Amino acid sequence: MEKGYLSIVLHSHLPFVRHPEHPEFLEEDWLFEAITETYIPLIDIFERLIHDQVPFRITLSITPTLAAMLSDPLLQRRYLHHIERLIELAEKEIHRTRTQPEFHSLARMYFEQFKNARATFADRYRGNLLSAFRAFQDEGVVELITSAATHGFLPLMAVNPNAVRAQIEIGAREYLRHFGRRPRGIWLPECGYYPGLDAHLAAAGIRFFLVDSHALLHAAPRPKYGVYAPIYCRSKVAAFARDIESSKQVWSAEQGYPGDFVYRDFYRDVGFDLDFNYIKPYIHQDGIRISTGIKYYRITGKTNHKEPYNRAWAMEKTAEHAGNFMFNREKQIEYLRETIGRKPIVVAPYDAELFGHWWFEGPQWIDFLIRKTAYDQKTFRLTTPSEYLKENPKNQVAAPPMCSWGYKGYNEVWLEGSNDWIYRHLHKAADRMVEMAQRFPQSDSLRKRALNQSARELLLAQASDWAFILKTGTAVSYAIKRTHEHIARFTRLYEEILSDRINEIFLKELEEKDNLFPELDYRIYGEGGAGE
Amino acid sequence: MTRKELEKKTIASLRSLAKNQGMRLRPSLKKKEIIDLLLPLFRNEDRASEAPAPDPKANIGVQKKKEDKPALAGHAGEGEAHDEKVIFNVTPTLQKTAESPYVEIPREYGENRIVLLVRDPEWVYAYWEVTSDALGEANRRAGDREAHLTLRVYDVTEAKDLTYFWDIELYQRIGNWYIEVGRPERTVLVDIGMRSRAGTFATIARSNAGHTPPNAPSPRFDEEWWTVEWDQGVIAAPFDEGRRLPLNEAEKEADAGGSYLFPGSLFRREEA
Repeated sequence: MEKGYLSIVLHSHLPFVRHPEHPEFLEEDWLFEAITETYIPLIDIFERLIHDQVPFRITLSITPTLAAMLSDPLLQRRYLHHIERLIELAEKEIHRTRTQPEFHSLARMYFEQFKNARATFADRYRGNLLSAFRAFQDEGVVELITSAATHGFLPLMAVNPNAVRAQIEIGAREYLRHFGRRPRGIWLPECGYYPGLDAHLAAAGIRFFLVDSHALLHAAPRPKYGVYAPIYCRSKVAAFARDIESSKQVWSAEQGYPGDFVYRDFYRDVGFDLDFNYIKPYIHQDGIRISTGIKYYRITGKTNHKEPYNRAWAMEKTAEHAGNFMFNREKQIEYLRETIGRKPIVVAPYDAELFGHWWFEGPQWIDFLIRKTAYDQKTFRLTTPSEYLKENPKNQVAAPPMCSWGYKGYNEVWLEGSNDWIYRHLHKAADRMVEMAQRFPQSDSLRKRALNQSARELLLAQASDWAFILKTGTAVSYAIKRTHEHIARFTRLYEEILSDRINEIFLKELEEKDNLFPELDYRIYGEGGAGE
Repeated sequence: MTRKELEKKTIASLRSLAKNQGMRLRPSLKKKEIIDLLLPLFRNEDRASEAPAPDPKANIGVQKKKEDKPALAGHAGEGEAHDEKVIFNVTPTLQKTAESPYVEIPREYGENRIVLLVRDPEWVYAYWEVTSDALGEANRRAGDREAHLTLRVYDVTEAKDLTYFWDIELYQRIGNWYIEVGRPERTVLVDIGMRSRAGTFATIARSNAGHTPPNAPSPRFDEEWWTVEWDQGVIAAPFDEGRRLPLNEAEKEADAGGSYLFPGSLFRREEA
């Protein structure tokens, strides 16, 4: 009999980036890189685990914007083109490195990885990777959870409860559309919580959400078991909190596994290193050098001096790190079981894209960890939040405070000098959306389309990603452009709808560009609020 | 506001308008010269952000120079009360729509509104917009042509009757401010209005209330337990027999804000 549980939660998210108006668009690469480096490696690992009948449980959030992109035919075609060019580049690399054995074997490794990605993507799943994840859920090994529609940061949206409710309910409906049932759990964008939000979750039929550690440590009354048991909010929705120790081992730049010197270096990429004329067809069409994904060096040390990557050494280290993580969880769970007299749950949430994209060896680490956990120890068992709640329905009642998992633990990342200007526009647009939905409970087909598109533009403007990018200072002009565009598009639609002069050509253009959430119904904004 | 609209106003109300925009006018200026100074401001209202950085002195009602300049929004016109240059600086990058590569968004929405957002256990943020008409009208109510645009911050945690407050002088009818509440678990709300030299306050708009979150473990140790069956039936349950987890190293670290580990999603990379 196990002494406790480990729940690994992978949060996968990308903002909606889709530009049919351009033949190539730099920021679309975010999706393509994540598919090749993270989503497909995870799919392959889960498939092999199922094939080998290794028992495991893992939780995976797929945000509605990511699901929209993964199921979009245009982006699917573009990904296919992208991966085919990478295969071509890897072939050339095999030829180019034929006299450099230390690189040659790596070129072959990438060639195999890309060819396999193409096969998984195109042959096995016919371009739609969501069907893979749905199958894992139906198999009972992966618990899929949803998120707010466009990953809007909810604590800074709370002044308009209908806008919050719409983000959540649309997230739940999109989940239903893609995965065939309503979601049980939700990944709150950036773990952003505020008192009262749980009532909106309850209204959407959601049973649990995830928060950062201090949400439970500072909850009132003080939770008896700290972060090692969930608590129920008064709405009966359960909150699970992140364990600091297990987070740090993977996340931390200094102490974490991904910074080990034998692991592959993220920054040295042939897109920057090789002769311009040679690499030109595989970088941005305007000649901007970008990462291709072919990287030959290991981290080596803290200086710019880099040694060639050695796959065998890296795999050895990956296995060692998986063993170390498991050992630490065993000790931790034994100690906790002893101390509190109840089976603790250790919740370890990570951004999915950390695995494979940033930490190249990350997917193998997950694979090793799952296999070792199944066969090399008996102290703990992998679980998911809903499985835990079914087995442990008795929990303490407490109220978590407003918090997030961002820097300093509250709202400052998304509310500071670089990005605070967006909120007056986001709030005004949300108020206008509610105003229109209440004014037009019934609409003919043109106005209905315009109202639905207004809601899409509002939702896209609300994505927390834009504020985050403004703050971190990378791709800033793109974040400003997106915020301005969606606010401007919304405002124009609002004015056209109120003056009953809807320009169908403009509307159609927007419907083709911002085409996510095809079943969205604007009337969701007009319904009475829950909770507040 | 157009030149014509400004011309309709008396020289005194133009002077007070200028003052509320943070300008200090020489007494010798003629009406036309004042209008010339004012016009560009009203044509080019800040729609992005004045984004003053948090001012630890805010709660004594004096604006000081700000340390941080917003990366994007440009620097706006706050500054020392006696600095004459500052106000002509009200042009964040985003406003330059003529040269801007971005599509235009509304500069203002033509309403009187103030919204409060909670940033963390010690700071809240307010943004506002008030119309020129409302400013004039509030001036009359305050009974002072030289009344000053003011944020009045109410702490209503204990007293619900708005008796505990402090003031912050403002210079812009469309703007924002970070307000140091200084303590967790306080409920605050904010009025924007005109304050006369004699202290009369004429409210133009009132914000929502905001509550700063706690930053330490709760002093409450009472326990309530529920059994929530998966089909949603709730049964009040007896106390769980387990032992309370002592505050350990990790928790202390979390208390100090050390739980933070930066999430590293895909598009969050630093360019090589």
